[in-house]
Amino acid sequence: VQATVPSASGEALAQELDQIFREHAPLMYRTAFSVTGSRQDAEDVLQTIFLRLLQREVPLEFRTSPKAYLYRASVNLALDIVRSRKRRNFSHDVELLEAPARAIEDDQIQRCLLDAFARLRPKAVEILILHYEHNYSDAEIAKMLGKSRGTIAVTLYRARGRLKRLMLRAISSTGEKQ
Amino acid sequence: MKPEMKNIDEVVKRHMPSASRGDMESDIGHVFHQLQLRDLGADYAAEEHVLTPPAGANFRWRIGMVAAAAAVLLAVFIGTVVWRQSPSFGVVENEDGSLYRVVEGKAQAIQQGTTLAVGETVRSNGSAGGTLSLADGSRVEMRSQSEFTVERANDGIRIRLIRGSIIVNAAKQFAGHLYVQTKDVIVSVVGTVFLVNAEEEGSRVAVIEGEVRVQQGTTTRNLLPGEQVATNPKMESLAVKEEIAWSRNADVHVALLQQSTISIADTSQKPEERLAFEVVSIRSSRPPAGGGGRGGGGEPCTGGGPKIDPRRFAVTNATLYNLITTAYNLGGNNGGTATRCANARALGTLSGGPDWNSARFDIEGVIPEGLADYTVRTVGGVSVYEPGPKLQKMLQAMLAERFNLVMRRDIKEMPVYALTVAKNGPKLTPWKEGDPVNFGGYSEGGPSRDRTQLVSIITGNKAPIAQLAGRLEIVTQRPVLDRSGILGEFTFRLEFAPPPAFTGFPSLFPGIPVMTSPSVFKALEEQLGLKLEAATAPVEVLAIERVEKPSEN
Repeated sequence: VQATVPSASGEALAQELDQIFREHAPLMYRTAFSVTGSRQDAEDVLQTIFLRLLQREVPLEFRTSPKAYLYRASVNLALDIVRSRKRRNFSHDVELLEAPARAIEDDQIQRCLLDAFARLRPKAVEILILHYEHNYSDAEIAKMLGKSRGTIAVTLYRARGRLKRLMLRAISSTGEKQ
Repeated sequence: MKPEMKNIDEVVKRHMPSASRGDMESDIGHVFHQLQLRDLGADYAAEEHVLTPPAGANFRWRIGMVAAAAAVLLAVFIGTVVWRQSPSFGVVENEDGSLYRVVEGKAQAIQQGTTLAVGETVRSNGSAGGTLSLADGSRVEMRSQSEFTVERANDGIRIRLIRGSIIVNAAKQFAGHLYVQTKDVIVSVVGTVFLVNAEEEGSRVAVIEGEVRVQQGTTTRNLLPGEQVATNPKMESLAVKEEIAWSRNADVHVALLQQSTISIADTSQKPEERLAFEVVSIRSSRPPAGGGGRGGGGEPCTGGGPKIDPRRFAVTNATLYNLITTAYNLGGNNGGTATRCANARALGTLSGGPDWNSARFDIEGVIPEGLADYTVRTVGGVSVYEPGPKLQKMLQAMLAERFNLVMRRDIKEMPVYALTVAKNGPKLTPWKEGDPVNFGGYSEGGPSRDRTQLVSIITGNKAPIAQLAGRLEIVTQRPVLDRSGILGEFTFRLEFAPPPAFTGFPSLFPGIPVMTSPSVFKALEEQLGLKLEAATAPVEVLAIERVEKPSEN
């Protein structure tokens, strides 16, 4: 999927990216923020993806469906960031920890939610974020990701179930530690 | 207390991080600027960013900007690294008590160890002259009754010899050149020992070691050890060893002269040392996939930066101008290859060229083993390759052989801006340990810090003034000469009104008006305490004298 292909001329690609940034940056940012919970990470995701494109690392999928590609890339990169941080035992999210007005319990639940995302398959996260954060219907998700509506419905059902189990396990574990 | 998990939908919706609109717009605006600023050539300062010349109604991303960091860094190397590490131009090594610096027309005596700033004039009034060490490791020996000043050139250092004689032992230049300029001649070198003499009736250049390029008007000539040239045939002709007899190190120079002459002869018998790719493949770039018929389109400065490994140099979709920009390290510290190329053309420092100047080529060269001089930097997860001087020479050779390219170096009197200190003094914040380290850059348009207006910005982090001058060239479309005399590295952010053609981004930042004042000139004075003064000055320009479309292989 990551095969680099010659794309439009430099200038044409530049204009194209300009337009694409305007259209899709909000979707990408919100997606990355939902997965990471961090403004800085969301910025990094957005910036990194466009830098790669500017480097002319333009995958085939981008040519056929820029929105789907950018969305998937945002989810994948955001998950990479979260997983990498977990491996290094970094704080989950500085911004969450710095939010005094937020109830501790809410923070814990949010942390468990983000941990659960990090344990799910990226395809499941893609659908969950579209469903919960972007309020897409099954049909809209299917259209965007190029899947059948039935596939989306089944995947979403399973992803919610797994998410619930992961969260319950994480919350129980958190409670025991306290 | 455990939350109720029966309704997973409710829990997820309540606890999923969701960015506020204000935060999101602010952060996207930040990224937007960063992407434009990415010329920044490198994490240490800025990787590539990309300056967008005020060319059209819409801002344009500069492809290759990242890649351009390569060339950016070359320029930065000479112009910045050398000077960054030692921001003064040099130190007095020894003198006979008669060396002076000229301050506001008055001569002040200087002693051994005195540090001299870029732009200062040094004069030797005594009988024996003196020696100075330059920041890049070069040494300059002054004859008595001589005078020169040192300034930054677009791609290096320029010693402007006002009168008298100097012997320059030029340190190896990592990129670009060291120039010695008199009123009627320019000498450029990359590492050598030579003499320059400036007299009323003309100038003389003599080479002791290495090779120098001498330009007089439109005539360029390369000199080898033992050779010399005078700009006026009436000037007395002496053998090189007699020309340098006044030097304290005359014996050493004469020995070097003899040794160099022999070594040049030896070198000429070793063709493997010639800097050229072993094999070169040149193909027309494939038409864009799904490019909407823009195909051969007319942008003469485009193409990504090179990709380099120890045996391979590759560039795709590169135009002739972009290749020349990389090969001759044009455009100074002004962003990516495409940007620097566009800037050099806009400023007129790169001129001429064929009607097929927007043709694009994919080029691969096999680098002789052990001769690949390049660096790789990772910027925002992207690898940026920076060719070194040897690779540049190989590219020049490739252009000469396959494109039959002939370049001409000229000096032109051109309108420029001199960057000077405003009357109330500079308002610059010195960079300090812990501050961000990146190049900064120029962004034609994006939200201001408070998101109330769309502004143009120039930023610098750990940036010398020369870098600011480079950015200002993009904005003003004129060469900007650093005459500030300010040394050191600074953190700055200059906000000013975008060019009139800039209309904003209604779809991305709806309702945010475009700033209409101050102009860059006024902003510079108000925010940084500097000013731009219109002037004319001799500027080195490159002209394409002859070029042919290469045959593919």
